[in-house]
Amino acid sequence: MKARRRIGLLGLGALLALQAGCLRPDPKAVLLNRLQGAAKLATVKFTFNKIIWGEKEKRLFLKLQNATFLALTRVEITAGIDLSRIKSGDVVLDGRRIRLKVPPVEVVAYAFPFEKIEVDRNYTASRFLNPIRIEDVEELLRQADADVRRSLPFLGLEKRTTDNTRALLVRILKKFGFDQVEIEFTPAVPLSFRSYE
Amino acid sequence: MSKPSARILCRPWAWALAGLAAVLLLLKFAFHVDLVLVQTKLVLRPTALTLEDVRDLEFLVTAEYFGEVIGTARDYFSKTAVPAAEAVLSRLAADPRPEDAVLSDEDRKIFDALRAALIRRSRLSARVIDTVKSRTGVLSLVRPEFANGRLGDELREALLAVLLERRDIAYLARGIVQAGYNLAAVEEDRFLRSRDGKTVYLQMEPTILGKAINPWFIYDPAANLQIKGFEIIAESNVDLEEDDAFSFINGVKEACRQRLLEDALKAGIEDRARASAEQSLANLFKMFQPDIEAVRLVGRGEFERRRAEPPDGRP
Repeated sequence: MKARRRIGLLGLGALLALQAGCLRPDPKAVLLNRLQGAAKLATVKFTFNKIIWGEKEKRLFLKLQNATFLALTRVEITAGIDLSRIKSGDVVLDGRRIRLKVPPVEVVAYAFPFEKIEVDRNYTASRFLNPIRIEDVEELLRQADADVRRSLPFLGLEKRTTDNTRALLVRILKKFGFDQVEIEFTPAVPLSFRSYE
Repeated sequence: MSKPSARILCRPWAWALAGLAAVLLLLKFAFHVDLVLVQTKLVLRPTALTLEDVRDLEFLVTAEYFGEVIGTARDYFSKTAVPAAEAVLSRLAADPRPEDAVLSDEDRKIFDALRAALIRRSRLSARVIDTVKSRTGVLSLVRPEFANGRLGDELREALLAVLLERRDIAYLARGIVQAGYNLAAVEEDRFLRSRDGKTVYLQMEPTILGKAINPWFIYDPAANLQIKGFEIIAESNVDLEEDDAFSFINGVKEACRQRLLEDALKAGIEDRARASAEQSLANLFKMFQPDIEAVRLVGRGEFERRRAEPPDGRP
């Protein structure tokens, strides 16, 4: 009986150990406080304005008057290409001619700077039993940030980024002595900001 | 009718409750009225993005630091309010007639906070309350703890306690610092090849190209990964109706950003930017000119020394 219990306990221990080994790491622990190398060529910075118009609806038996928050914000999107994704097979040399295939344009940096948020005090108002609190402001900013990120593929940033990147690469390559430079871009994927990748 | 359940039916409040329930059910199912009693919802009204500016860049980002920091109102007050208090005290101490000196609103506020700190520290001593009514009185009380334009630790802590009691906030913040090179700033003659032609020297200094803490640090619903940029850990008495509420909040957020930058610099982001740039530029240059083996990014001193070397290598 005792031996059976011991075997049972050992089995349970092994199962727990296995389970612990299979635990997925916390993504926050993996992503943060990390320094990584990169080779991203940023060629254009777009600054957008966005109005944040938020309302706090509250019901306390009856629907209370909405509290409002209004602010003008700015979003800075820096785009370019990732040079580390150019492989030797992407370069074709022929005397003083060069043909280069470069990766698709991407968002290199994204900023929703808090210091550029201008709160409109005339239209930002708490109401009776329905105040606008700092947590509400942070939540509205997050909703606006998410909204901008969802809009990224539809902002038409690719054309200007492609043109700028092409012009810069041609200028650099001409300094290397090439007189004919052909740049071909890999078809673009929808733009998004995934800095942690 | 002698059973307890039957007796309840005789009470008027039971009939009132039953009536109320019937009305609520009628509202809910016949008129589809939402019967949620307490509910709060934040709604973002749709607004467009409008393009304000497009600027050409020539940045090479070669190192990125992803970090998490804590920023508090205490950090903010230590860097702003305490030096402001020290500046006001220095000014008044140097003034032959401190009572008549003109102070700005901000200066007056910080001076009042200092008064409150002195009173609080004295545990509401009547003598101190009386003394701090005048600026000269405040100066006389502060004098033993104010040397070389700096407040003593104890008084500094008392001042911070008063300010934090008025309003306090702490953020957990996650953001990104990017470092690399501004290629547009590299001049034509900052490029040099070694005598054997295998090494390219570029005079370039790494620089911080960006530091951002956004509302979302990561927003990727498809991967089920959403991590907030700014997260409130604790907050008390932050009243958005106050005129300077948002500059106070931005000050605390700036403290977070500064700390993030300090962490990135401590982690060696500039060295990593240099090493990474040398590696990736060498890889790139090799594709165009196979005789290039290495790229070295050097400071002005080393670049000038290399350029001054005679072609045959002898000093």
